[in-house]
Amino acid sequence: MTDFVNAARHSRDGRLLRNQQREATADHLAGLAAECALKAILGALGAWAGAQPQRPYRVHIDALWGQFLGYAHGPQARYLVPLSAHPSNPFVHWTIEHRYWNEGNIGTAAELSARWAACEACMLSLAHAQADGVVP
Amino acid sequence: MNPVRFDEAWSLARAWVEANLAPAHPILVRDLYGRIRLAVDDEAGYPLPSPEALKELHAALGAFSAGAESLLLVKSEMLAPDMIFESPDLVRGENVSLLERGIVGADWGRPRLGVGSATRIALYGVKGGVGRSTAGAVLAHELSRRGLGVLVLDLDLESPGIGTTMLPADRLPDYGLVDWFVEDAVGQADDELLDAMVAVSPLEADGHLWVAPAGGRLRSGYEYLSKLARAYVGVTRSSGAVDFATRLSDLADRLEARLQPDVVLLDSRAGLHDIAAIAVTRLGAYSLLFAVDSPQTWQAYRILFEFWRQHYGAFREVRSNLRMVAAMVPETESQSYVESFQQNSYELFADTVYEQAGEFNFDLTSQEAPHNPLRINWMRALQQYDPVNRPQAVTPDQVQAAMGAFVESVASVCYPS
Repeated sequence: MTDFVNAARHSRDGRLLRNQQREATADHLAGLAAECALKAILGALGAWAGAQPQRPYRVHIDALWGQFLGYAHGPQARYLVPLSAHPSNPFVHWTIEHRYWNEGNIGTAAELSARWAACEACMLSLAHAQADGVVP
Repeated sequence: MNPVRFDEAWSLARAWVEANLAPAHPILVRDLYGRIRLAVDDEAGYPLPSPEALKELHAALGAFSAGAESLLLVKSEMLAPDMIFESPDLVRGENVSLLERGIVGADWGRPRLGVGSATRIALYGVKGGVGRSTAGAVLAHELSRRGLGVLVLDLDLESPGIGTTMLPADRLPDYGLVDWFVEDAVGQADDELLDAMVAVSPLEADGHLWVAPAGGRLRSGYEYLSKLARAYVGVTRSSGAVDFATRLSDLADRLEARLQPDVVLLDSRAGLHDIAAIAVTRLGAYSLLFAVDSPQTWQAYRILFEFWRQHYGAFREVRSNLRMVAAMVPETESQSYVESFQQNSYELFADTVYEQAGEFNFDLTSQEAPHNPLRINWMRALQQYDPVNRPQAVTPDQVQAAMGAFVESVASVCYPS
Protein backbone atom coordinates (compact mmCIF):
# COMPACT_ATOMS: atom_id res chain seq x y z
CA MET A 1 0.00 0.00 0.00
CA THR A 2 1.53 3.24 -1.16
CA ASP A 3 2.59 5.64 1.53
CA PHE A 4 5.15 8.02 0.14
CA VAL A 5 5.63 9.78 3.43
CA ASN A 6 6.64 6.68 5.33
CA ALA A 7 8.74 5.49 2.45
CA ALA A 8 11.11 8.31 3.33
CA ARG A 9 12.45 5.75 5.78
CA HIS A 10 14.80 4.91 2.92
CA SER A 11 16.77 8.03 3.79
CA ARG A 12 17.13 7.05 7.42
CA ASP A 13 18.28 3.56 6.48
CA GLY A 14 20.55 5.04 3.83
CA ARG A 15 22.21 7.23 6.42
CA LEU A 16 22.92 4.18 8.57
CA LEU A 17 24.54 2.44 5.62
CA ARG A 18 26.54 5.49 4.70
CA ASN A 19 27.92 5.69 8.19
CA GLN A 20 29.14 2.13 7.69
CA GLN A 21 30.71 2.99 4.33
CA ARG A 22 28.13 0.91 2.53
CA GLU A 23 28.00 3.57 -0.21
CA ALA A 24 26.40 1.72 -3.09
CA THR A 25 23.26 0.59 -1.33
CA ALA A 26 23.04 3.90 0.52
CA ASP A 27 23.06 5.61 -2.86
CA HIS A 28 20.27 3.38 -4.09
CA LEU A 29 18.18 4.24 -1.08
CA ALA A 30 18.96 7.94 -1.58
CA GLY A 31 17.29 7.75 -4.96
CA LEU A 32 14.26 5.93 -3.57
CA ALA A 33 13.94 8.34 -0.65
CA ALA A 34 14.14 11.38 -2.88
CA GLU A 35 11.53 9.87 -5.18
CA CYS A 36 9.14 9.22 -2.30
CA ALA A 37 9.66 12.64 -0.76
CA LEU A 38 8.94 14.37 -4.05
CA LYS A 39 5.88 12.24 -4.66
CA ALA A 40 4.59 13.00 -1.18
CA ILE A 41 4.92 16.73 -1.86
CA LEU A 42 3.45 16.49 -5.35
CA GLY A 43 0.50 14.61 -3.90
CA ALA A 44 -0.13 17.55 -1.61
CA LEU A 45 -0.01 19.81 -4.66
CA GLY A 46 -2.96 17.93 -6.06
CA ALA A 47 -0.93 16.15 -8.70
CA TRP A 48 -3.36 13.28 -8.59
CA ALA A 49 -6.76 12.59 -7.12
CA GLY A 50 -6.77 10.18 -4.22
CA ALA A 51 -3.69 8.44 -2.80
CA GLN A 52 -2.26 7.08 -6.02
CA PRO A 53 -0.59 8.82 -8.94
CA GLN A 54 -1.53 7.67 -12.40
CA ARG A 55 1.83 6.01 -12.93
CA PRO A 56 2.78 5.02 -9.41
CA TYR A 57 5.85 3.00 -10.05
CA ARG A 58 6.97 3.88 -13.48
CA VAL A 59 8.74 7.13 -12.79
CA HIS A 60 11.83 7.09 -10.61
CA ILE A 61 14.01 9.91 -9.39
CA ASP A 62 16.23 10.07 -12.49
CA ALA A 63 13.23 11.02 -14.62
CA LEU A 64 11.20 12.71 -11.90
CA TRP A 65 13.87 15.29 -11.14
CA GLY A 66 13.56 16.72 -14.62
CA GLN A 67 9.78 16.73 -14.42
CA PHE A 68 8.80 18.06 -11.04
CA LEU A 69 9.30 21.74 -11.76
CA GLY A 70 6.94 21.30 -14.69
CA TYR A 71 4.25 20.33 -12.21
CA ALA A 72 5.02 22.87 -9.49
CA HIS A 73 2.62 25.77 -9.30
CA GLY A 74 0.51 27.63 -6.76
CA PRO A 75 1.36 28.60 -3.21
CA GLN A 76 2.02 24.99 -2.17
CA ALA A 77 4.85 24.84 -4.69
CA ARG A 78 7.14 26.65 -2.29
CA TYR A 79 8.33 23.33 -0.86
CA LEU A 80 9.85 22.45 -4.20
CA VAL A 81 11.58 25.78 -4.64
CA PRO A 82 14.76 25.00 -2.62
CA LEU A 83 15.31 21.88 -4.71
CA SER A 84 15.87 23.92 -7.84
CA ALA A 85 19.08 25.25 -6.30
CA HIS A 86 20.68 21.94 -7.18
CA PRO A 87 22.62 21.36 -10.39
CA SER A 88 20.59 20.33 -13.36
CA ASN A 89 19.80 16.78 -12.38
CA PRO A 90 21.90 15.23 -9.64
CA PHE A 91 20.20 11.87 -10.30
CA VAL A 92 20.73 11.86 -14.05
CA HIS A 93 23.00 8.80 -13.82
CA TRP A 94 21.10 7.08 -11.03
CA THR A 95 18.88 4.25 -12.15
CA ILE A 96 16.57 1.79 -10.45
CA GLU A 97 18.61 -0.85 -12.26
CA HIS A 98 21.57 -0.10 -9.99
CA ARG A 99 20.23 -2.73 -7.65
CA TYR A 100 21.51 -5.32 -10.15
CA TRP A 101 24.86 -3.71 -10.89
CA ASN A 102 28.30 -4.15 -9.52
CA GLU A 103 28.72 -1.63 -6.74
CA GLY A 104 31.88 -0.27 -8.31
CA ASN A 105 30.02 0.96 -11.37
CA ILE A 106 27.21 3.03 -9.98
CA GLY A 107 29.02 6.35 -9.97
CA THR A 108 31.99 8.42 -8.87
CA ALA A 109 32.44 9.59 -5.31
CA ALA A 110 31.48 13.08 -6.39
CA GLU A 111 28.28 11.87 -8.05
CA LEU A 112 27.27 9.86 -5.00
CA SER A 113 27.98 12.80 -2.77
CA ALA A 114 25.84 15.08 -4.92
CA ARG A 115 23.00 12.55 -4.97
CA TRP A 116 23.12 12.25 -1.22
CA ALA A 117 22.95 16.02 -0.80
CA ALA A 118 19.98 16.21 -3.14
CA CYS A 119 18.25 13.45 -1.20
CA GLU A 120 18.74 15.37 2.03
CA ALA A 121 17.26 18.46 0.38
CA CYS A 122 14.17 16.50 -0.64
CA MET A 123 13.80 15.21 2.90
CA LEU A 124 14.08 18.75 4.23
CA SER A 125 11.37 19.96 1.86
CA LEU A 126 9.14 17.11 2.96
CA ALA A 127 9.80 17.97 6.60
CA HIS A 128 8.75 21.57 5.95
CA ALA A 129 5.60 20.45 4.20
CA GLN A 130 4.79 18.18 7.12
CA ALA A 131 5.54 20.90 9.67
CA ASP A 132 3.13 23.19 7.82
CA GLY A 133 0.48 20.51 7.87
CA VAL A 134 0.29 20.37 4.09
CA VAL A 135 1.53 16.78 4.03
CA PRO A 136 0.21 14.56 6.81
CA MET B 1 27.46 37.07 -25.27
CA ASN B 2 24.29 38.85 -24.27
CA PRO B 3 22.11 36.97 -21.82
CA VAL B 4 18.73 35.89 -23.09
CA ARG B 5 16.21 37.62 -20.83
CA PHE B 6 12.93 36.25 -19.44
CA ASP B 7 10.62 37.74 -22.12
CA GLU B 8 13.01 37.07 -24.95
CA ALA B 9 13.44 33.41 -24.00
CA TRP B 10 9.69 32.86 -24.06
CA SER B 11 9.05 34.55 -27.38
CA LEU B 12 12.10 32.85 -28.85
CA ALA B 13 10.88 29.46 -27.63
CA ARG B 14 7.41 30.03 -29.04
CA ALA B 15 8.64 31.20 -32.40
CA TRP B 16 11.21 28.45 -32.72
CA VAL B 17 8.81 25.70 -31.71
CA GLU B 18 6.12 27.00 -34.08
CA ALA B 19 8.63 27.00 -36.90
CA ASN B 20 10.36 23.70 -36.19
CA LEU B 21 8.30 21.44 -33.98
CA ALA B 22 4.67 22.08 -34.88
CA PRO B 23 3.99 18.42 -35.79
CA ALA B 24 4.78 17.48 -32.20
CA HIS B 25 1.89 19.65 -30.96
CA PRO B 26 3.96 20.48 -27.92
CA ILE B 27 2.98 22.31 -24.77
CA LEU B 28 5.52 24.92 -23.78
CA VAL B 29 5.73 24.94 -20.00
CA ARG B 30 7.26 27.89 -18.21
CA ASP B 31 8.12 26.92 -14.63
CA LEU B 32 8.38 28.89 -11.41
CA TYR B 33 11.76 30.23 -12.53
CA GLY B 34 10.72 31.06 -16.05
CA ARG B 35 12.59 28.00 -17.29
CA ILE B 36 11.09 26.39 -20.33
CA ARG B 37 10.22 22.78 -21.10
CA LEU B 38 8.37 21.07 -23.94
CA ALA B 39 5.74 18.46 -23.17
CA VAL B 40 4.82 16.12 -26.01
CA ASP B 41 1.94 13.65 -26.06
CA ASP B 42 3.59 10.59 -27.58
CA GLU B 43 0.58 8.51 -26.56
CA ALA B 44 -1.50 10.49 -29.03
CA GLY B 45 1.04 9.66 -31.69
CA TYR B 46 2.83 12.98 -31.89
CA PRO B 47 6.48 12.70 -32.88
CA LEU B 48 9.19 13.53 -30.42
CA PRO B 49 11.70 16.27 -31.28
CA SER B 50 15.12 15.02 -32.33
CA PRO B 51 18.03 15.30 -29.91
CA GLU B 52 19.65 17.78 -32.29
CA ALA B 53 16.58 20.00 -32.24
CA LEU B 54 16.46 19.91 -28.47
CA LYS B 55 20.14 20.74 -28.23
CA GLU B 56 19.62 23.74 -30.47
CA LEU B 57 16.67 24.99 -28.47
CA HIS B 58 18.49 24.46 -25.18
CA ALA B 59 21.42 26.52 -26.38
CA ALA B 60 19.17 29.30 -27.63
CA LEU B 61 17.27 29.64 -24.36
CA GLY B 62 20.31 30.21 -22.20
CA ALA B 63 19.52 30.44 -18.50
CA PHE B 64 15.83 29.95 -19.21
CA SER B 65 16.21 26.44 -20.55
CA ALA B 66 15.14 23.84 -18.00
CA GLY B 67 18.35 21.98 -18.79
CA ALA B 68 19.57 19.75 -21.57
CA GLU B 69 18.18 16.58 -19.96
CA SER B 70 15.01 18.18 -18.60
CA LEU B 71 13.89 20.10 -21.66
CA LEU B 72 11.61 17.40 -22.99
CA LEU B 73 8.71 15.89 -21.06
CA VAL B 74 7.33 12.80 -22.77
CA LYS B 75 3.80 11.93 -21.73
CA SER B 76 4.30 8.17 -21.45
CA GLU B 77 7.21 8.79 -19.08
CA MET B 78 5.55 11.35 -16.86
CA LEU B 79 4.48 10.78 -13.29
CA ALA B 80 1.45 13.06 -13.47
CA PRO B 81 0.83 13.93 -17.12
CA ASP B 82 -2.64 15.32 -16.45
CA MET B 83 -1.08 18.12 -14.43
CA ILE B 84 0.20 19.42 -17.71
CA PHE B 85 -1.93 17.98 -20.48
CA GLU B 86 -5.22 18.52 -18.66
CA SER B 87 -4.27 21.66 -16.79
CA PRO B 88 -7.08 24.22 -16.59
CA ASP B 89 -4.43 26.87 -17.19
CA LEU B 90 -3.45 25.60 -20.63
CA VAL B 91 -3.70 28.23 -23.32
CA ARG B 92 -4.34 26.10 -26.35
CA GLY B 93 -3.02 27.13 -29.73
CA GLU B 94 -3.43 25.52 -33.09
CA ASN B 95 -0.09 23.73 -32.94
CA VAL B 96 1.60 24.95 -29.81
CA SER B 97 -0.02 25.37 -26.40
CA LEU B 98 1.30 27.34 -23.47
CA LEU B 99 1.29 26.60 -19.76
CA GLU B 100 2.45 29.01 -17.11
CA ARG B 101 3.46 27.78 -13.67
CA GLY B 102 3.56 30.54 -11.08
CA ILE B 103 3.22 30.72 -7.33
CA VAL B 104 0.29 33.14 -7.71
CA GLY B 105 -1.54 34.90 -10.48
CA ALA B 106 -3.30 32.08 -12.27
CA ASP B 107 -6.78 33.23 -11.29
CA TRP B 108 -6.87 36.06 -13.86
CA GLY B 109 -7.04 33.50 -16.63
CA ARG B 110 -9.19 30.82 -15.07
CA PRO B 111 -12.83 30.11 -15.85
CA ARG B 112 -15.89 31.14 -13.92
CA LEU B 113 -16.63 28.98 -10.89
CA GLY B 114 -20.28 29.87 -10.61
CA VAL B 115 -22.67 32.79 -10.81
CA GLY B 116 -24.43 32.39 -7.51
CA SER B 117 -28.11 32.92 -6.83
CA ALA B 118 -27.95 36.69 -6.37
CA THR B 119 -26.81 39.49 -8.66
CA ARG B 120 -23.13 39.82 -7.87
CA ILE B 121 -21.37 43.12 -8.33
CA ALA B 122 -17.62 43.50 -7.89
CA LEU B 123 -16.11 46.86 -7.07
CA TYR B 124 -12.54 46.88 -8.26
CA GLY B 125 -9.78 49.38 -8.91
CA VAL B 126 -6.37 48.44 -10.19
CA LYS B 127 -5.08 51.26 -8.04
CA GLY B 128 -6.52 52.07 -4.66
CA GLY B 129 -7.69 55.30 -3.15
CA VAL B 130 -10.41 55.84 -5.74
CA GLY B 131 -13.39 55.83 -3.41
CA ARG B 132 -14.42 52.28 -4.08
CA SER B 133 -15.52 51.48 -0.54
CA THR B 134 -17.46 54.73 -0.22
CA ALA B 135 -19.21 53.96 -3.48
CA GLY B 136 -19.94 50.48 -2.19
CA ALA B 137 -21.50 51.79 1.00
CA VAL B 138 -23.63 54.31 -0.88
CA LEU B 139 -24.68 51.69 -3.38
CA ALA B 140 -25.61 49.24 -0.66
CA HIS B 141 -27.77 51.80 1.09
CA GLU B 142 -29.48 52.96 -2.11
CA LEU B 143 -30.25 49.43 -3.23
CA SER B 144 -31.67 48.70 0.20
CA ARG B 145 -33.84 51.82 -0.14
CA ARG B 146 -35.19 50.31 -3.33
CA GLY B 147 -36.29 47.26 -1.36
CA LEU B 148 -33.48 44.96 -2.47
CA GLY B 149 -31.76 42.65 0.00
CA VAL B 150 -28.04 43.37 -0.12
CA LEU B 151 -25.03 41.48 1.24
CA VAL B 152 -21.66 43.22 1.28
CA LEU B 153 -18.50 41.09 1.41
CA ASP B 154 -15.26 42.79 2.39
CA LEU B 155 -12.76 40.94 0.23
CA ASP B 156 -9.96 43.41 0.86
CA LEU B 157 -8.44 41.14 3.47
CA GLU B 158 -5.08 42.94 3.43
CA SER B 159 -6.64 46.35 3.89
CA PRO B 160 -10.08 45.83 5.39
CA GLY B 161 -12.38 48.80 5.46
CA ILE B 162 -15.90 48.58 4.18
CA GLY B 163 -16.96 46.64 7.26
CA THR B 164 -15.97 49.53 9.49
CA THR B 165 -17.60 52.04 7.14
CA MET B 166 -20.93 50.25 7.27
CA LEU B 167 -21.01 48.90 10.83
CA PRO B 168 -20.58 50.76 14.10
CA ALA B 169 -17.99 49.34 16.46
CA ASP B 170 -20.59 47.75 18.71
CA ARG B 171 -22.24 45.91 15.81
CA LEU B 172 -19.15 44.29 14.29
CA PRO B 173 -19.73 40.56 14.25
CA ASP B 174 -17.59 38.21 16.28
CA TYR B 175 -16.08 36.65 13.18
CA GLY B 176 -15.14 37.67 9.67
CA LEU B 177 -14.08 36.18 6.37
CA VAL B 178 -10.59 35.28 7.59
CA ASP B 179 -12.20 33.19 10.31
CA TRP B 180 -14.19 31.31 7.72
CA PHE B 181 -11.07 30.28 5.85
CA VAL B 182 -9.21 28.92 8.84
CA GLU B 183 -12.23 27.12 10.24
CA ASP B 184 -13.08 25.68 6.83
CA ALA B 185 -9.53 24.38 6.51
CA VAL B 186 -10.17 22.03 9.43
CA GLY B 187 -13.68 21.18 8.43
CA GLN B 188 -15.70 23.20 10.90
CA ALA B 189 -17.12 26.06 8.90
CA ASP B 190 -20.69 25.54 10.03
CA ASP B 191 -23.86 27.59 9.87
CA GLU B 192 -23.25 28.90 13.38
CA LEU B 193 -20.03 30.46 12.13
CA LEU B 194 -21.78 31.84 9.06
CA ASP B 195 -24.33 33.57 11.25
CA ALA B 196 -21.60 34.95 13.48
CA MET B 197 -19.79 36.45 10.48
CA VAL B 198 -22.58 38.71 9.33
CA ALA B 199 -24.12 41.81 10.87
CA VAL B 200 -26.97 44.07 9.88
CA SER B 201 -25.86 47.56 8.89
CA PRO B 202 -27.66 50.64 10.21
CA LEU B 203 -27.66 51.80 6.58
CA GLU B 204 -30.39 49.24 6.01
CA ALA B 205 -33.58 50.75 4.62
CA ASP B 206 -36.45 48.83 3.03
CA GLY B 207 -34.44 45.82 1.97
CA HIS B 208 -32.09 43.92 4.24
CA LEU B 209 -28.50 45.08 4.38
CA TRP B 210 -25.95 42.62 5.71
CA VAL B 211 -22.22 43.08 5.96
CA ALA B 212 -19.62 40.31 6.20
CA PRO B 213 -16.40 42.09 7.19
CA ALA B 214 -12.90 40.80 6.59
CA GLY B 215 -12.35 40.18 10.30
CA GLY B 216 -14.37 40.02 13.45
CA ARG B 217 -14.63 42.55 16.24
CA LEU B 218 -11.16 43.19 17.65
CA ARG B 219 -10.98 41.92 21.19
CA SER B 220 -8.64 40.20 23.56
CA GLY B 221 -7.78 36.78 22.18
CA TYR B 222 -8.88 37.60 18.63
CA GLU B 223 -6.07 37.45 16.11
CA TYR B 224 -6.37 38.77 12.58
CA LEU B 225 -2.91 38.53 11.02
CA SER B 226 -2.38 34.92 12.04
CA LYS B 227 -5.56 34.00 10.17
CA LEU B 228 -4.77 36.19 7.19
CA ALA B 229 -1.42 34.38 6.94
CA ARG B 230 -3.34 31.16 6.42
CA ALA B 231 -6.38 32.32 4.50
CA TYR B 232 -5.09 31.57 1.03
CA VAL B 233 -3.88 28.06 1.60
CA GLY B 234 -5.47 25.29 -0.41
CA VAL B 235 -7.08 22.41 1.41
CA THR B 236 -7.56 18.76 0.67
CA ARG B 237 -11.04 17.37 0.88
CA SER B 238 -12.21 13.88 0.00
CA SER B 239 -12.90 15.18 -3.51
CA GLY B 240 -9.27 16.22 -3.87
CA ALA B 241 -7.28 19.43 -3.64
CA VAL B 242 -9.44 22.55 -3.33
CA ASP B 243 -7.87 25.91 -4.07
CA PHE B 244 -8.64 29.28 -2.52
CA ALA B 245 -10.80 30.41 -5.41
CA THR B 246 -13.10 27.44 -4.98
CA ARG B 247 -13.26 28.03 -1.25
CA LEU B 248 -14.22 31.65 -1.75
CA SER B 249 -16.84 30.68 -4.29
CA ASP B 250 -18.25 28.11 -1.88
CA LEU B 251 -18.39 30.74 0.86
CA ALA B 252 -20.31 33.13 -1.37
CA ASP B 253 -22.74 30.35 -2.30
CA ARG B 254 -23.30 29.43 1.32
CA LEU B 255 -23.92 33.00 2.41
CA GLU B 256 -26.38 33.45 -0.45
CA ALA B 257 -28.20 30.26 0.49
CA ARG B 258 -28.37 31.36 4.11
CA LEU B 259 -29.41 34.99 3.67
CA GLN B 260 -31.04 34.96 0.24
CA PRO B 261 -29.97 38.45 -0.76
CA ASP B 262 -30.97 39.94 -4.10
CA VAL B 263 -27.56 41.55 -4.55
CA VAL B 264 -24.07 40.70 -3.33
CA LEU B 265 -21.52 43.52 -3.42
CA LEU B 266 -17.94 42.23 -3.53
CA ASP B 267 -15.60 44.92 -2.26
CA SER B 268 -12.45 43.71 -3.91
CA ARG B 269 -8.89 44.41 -3.04
CA ALA B 270 -7.11 46.87 -5.32
CA GLY B 271 -4.22 45.74 -7.48
CA LEU B 272 -3.43 42.55 -9.34
CA HIS B 273 -3.65 40.08 -6.44
CA ASP B 274 -5.42 36.76 -6.89
CA ILE B 275 -8.31 37.67 -4.62
CA ALA B 276 -9.09 40.59 -6.92
CA ALA B 277 -8.90 38.22 -9.88
CA ILE B 278 -11.40 35.90 -8.25
CA ALA B 279 -13.83 38.72 -7.47
CA VAL B 280 -13.63 40.25 -10.93
CA THR B 281 -13.47 37.18 -13.13
CA ARG B 282 -14.46 33.99 -11.40
CA LEU B 283 -17.65 34.64 -9.46
CA GLY B 284 -19.92 35.69 -12.31
CA ALA B 285 -19.97 39.26 -11.07
CA TYR B 286 -20.77 42.43 -12.95
CA SER B 287 -17.43 44.12 -12.42
CA LEU B 288 -17.12 47.84 -11.98
CA LEU B 289 -13.58 48.89 -12.81
CA PHE B 290 -12.81 52.12 -10.95
CA ALA B 291 -10.26 54.47 -12.43
CA VAL B 292 -9.02 58.02 -12.47
CA ASP B 293 -7.70 59.60 -15.63
CA SER B 294 -4.01 59.31 -14.83
CA PRO B 295 -1.14 57.70 -16.72
CA GLN B 296 -0.41 55.42 -13.75
CA THR B 297 -3.96 54.09 -13.77
CA TRP B 298 -4.08 53.45 -17.51
CA GLN B 299 -0.67 51.84 -17.45
CA ALA B 300 -1.72 49.53 -14.63
CA TYR B 301 -4.98 48.58 -16.35
CA ARG B 302 -3.07 47.93 -19.51
CA ILE B 303 -1.11 45.20 -17.69
CA LEU B 304 -4.37 43.45 -16.93
CA PHE B 305 -5.97 44.07 -20.31
CA GLU B 306 -2.87 42.90 -22.13
CA PHE B 307 -3.07 39.68 -20.13
CA TRP B 308 -6.71 39.34 -21.13
CA ARG B 309 -5.83 39.90 -24.76
CA GLN B 310 -3.48 36.95 -24.57
CA HIS B 311 -5.96 34.82 -22.65
CA TYR B 312 -8.96 35.75 -24.73
CA GLY B 313 -10.70 32.43 -24.27
CA ALA B 314 -11.01 33.05 -20.56
CA PHE B 315 -11.77 36.73 -21.14
CA ARG B 316 -14.80 35.91 -23.27
CA GLU B 317 -16.71 34.88 -20.15
CA VAL B 318 -16.00 38.18 -18.49
CA ARG B 319 -16.14 40.77 -21.23
CA SER B 320 -19.87 41.42 -21.17
CA ASN B 321 -19.75 41.98 -17.44
CA LEU B 322 -17.27 44.83 -17.28
CA ARG B 323 -17.82 48.53 -16.93
CA MET B 324 -15.36 51.35 -16.32
CA VAL B 325 -16.14 53.87 -13.61
CA ALA B 326 -14.68 57.37 -13.73
CA ALA B 327 -14.33 57.44 -10.00
CA MET B 328 -13.34 60.98 -9.08
CA VAL B 329 -14.53 63.39 -11.75
CA PRO B 330 -13.31 66.81 -10.64
CA GLU B 331 -15.62 69.67 -9.79
CA THR B 332 -14.06 71.99 -12.35
CA GLU B 333 -13.52 71.32 -16.06
CA SER B 334 -15.35 68.09 -15.55
CA GLN B 335 -16.46 67.81 -19.17
CA SER B 336 -12.94 67.83 -20.58
CA TYR B 337 -11.90 65.38 -17.87
CA VAL B 338 -14.64 62.97 -18.84
CA GLU B 339 -13.76 63.30 -22.52
CA SER B 340 -10.12 62.58 -21.82
CA PHE B 341 -11.08 59.62 -19.63
CA GLN B 342 -13.38 58.27 -22.31
CA GLN B 343 -10.68 58.59 -24.95
CA ASN B 344 -8.04 56.85 -22.83
CA SER B 345 -10.47 54.18 -21.77
CA TYR B 346 -11.49 53.57 -25.37
CA GLU B 347 -7.86 53.22 -26.43
CA LEU B 348 -7.22 50.75 -23.64
CA PHE B 349 -10.05 48.52 -24.81
CA ALA B 350 -9.47 49.02 -28.51
CA ASP B 351 -5.77 48.22 -28.27
CA THR B 352 -6.35 45.02 -26.35
CA VAL B 353 -9.78 43.41 -26.23
CA TYR B 354 -12.12 44.95 -28.77
CA GLU B 355 -12.44 42.74 -31.80
CA GLN B 356 -11.81 44.57 -35.01
CA ALA B 357 -13.81 42.00 -36.93
CA GLY B 358 -16.01 40.59 -34.24
CA GLU B 359 -19.04 41.27 -32.14
CA PHE B 360 -17.19 42.69 -29.15
CA ASN B 361 -16.50 46.06 -30.63
CA PHE B 362 -17.79 49.53 -29.80
CA ASP B 363 -17.43 53.09 -30.99
CA LEU B 364 -15.82 55.74 -28.85
CA THR B 365 -19.15 57.24 -27.82
CA SER B 366 -21.27 54.11 -27.67
CA GLN B 367 -23.41 54.27 -24.54
CA GLU B 368 -23.41 50.55 -23.80
CA ALA B 369 -19.69 50.19 -24.32
CA PRO B 370 -17.78 48.86 -21.33
CA HIS B 371 -15.11 51.50 -21.86
CA ASN B 372 -17.67 54.27 -21.53
CA PRO B 373 -17.50 55.10 -17.88
CA LEU B 374 -20.15 55.41 -15.26
CA ARG B 375 -19.47 58.60 -13.44
CA ILE B 376 -18.85 59.45 -9.80
CA ASN B 377 -18.22 63.12 -9.10
CA TRP B 378 -15.56 64.03 -6.62
CA MET B 379 -17.02 66.35 -4.07
CA ARG B 380 -15.23 67.80 -1.14
CA ALA B 381 -18.27 67.16 1.04
CA LEU B 382 -18.07 63.42 0.39
CA GLN B 383 -14.66 63.19 1.97
CA GLN B 384 -16.55 63.43 5.26
CA TYR B 385 -18.72 60.42 4.42
CA ASP B 386 -19.10 58.44 7.64
CA PRO B 387 -22.72 57.36 7.59
CA VAL B 388 -22.56 55.17 10.66
CA ASN B 389 -20.90 57.54 13.10
CA ARG B 390 -21.78 60.94 11.63
CA PRO B 391 -24.85 60.50 9.46
CA GLN B 392 -25.41 64.28 9.26
CA ALA B 393 -21.96 64.99 7.83
CA VAL B 394 -23.09 64.45 4.25
CA THR B 395 -26.62 65.19 3.05
CA PRO B 396 -28.63 62.98 0.71
CA ASP B 397 -28.52 65.77 -1.88
CA GLN B 398 -24.75 65.74 -1.81
CA VAL B 399 -24.67 61.98 -2.20
CA GLN B 400 -27.11 62.26 -5.07
CA ALA B 401 -25.00 64.90 -6.76
CA ALA B 402 -21.89 62.78 -6.47
CA MET B 403 -23.31 59.36 -7.20
CA GLY B 404 -26.89 59.60 -8.40
CA ALA B 405 -26.20 58.60 -11.97
CA PHE B 406 -23.80 55.87 -10.90
CA VAL B 407 -26.36 54.35 -8.56
CA GLU B 408 -29.09 54.44 -11.21
CA SER B 409 -26.91 52.63 -13.72
CA VAL B 410 -25.89 49.93 -11.30
CA ALA B 411 -29.41 49.53 -9.92
CA SER B 412 -30.70 48.81 -13.41
CA VAL B 413 -28.41 45.78 -13.49
CA CYS B 414 -29.85 44.51 -10.24
CA TYR B 415 -33.49 44.07 -11.06
CA PRO B 416 -34.27 40.50 -12.02
CA SER B 417 -35.40 40.28 -15.60
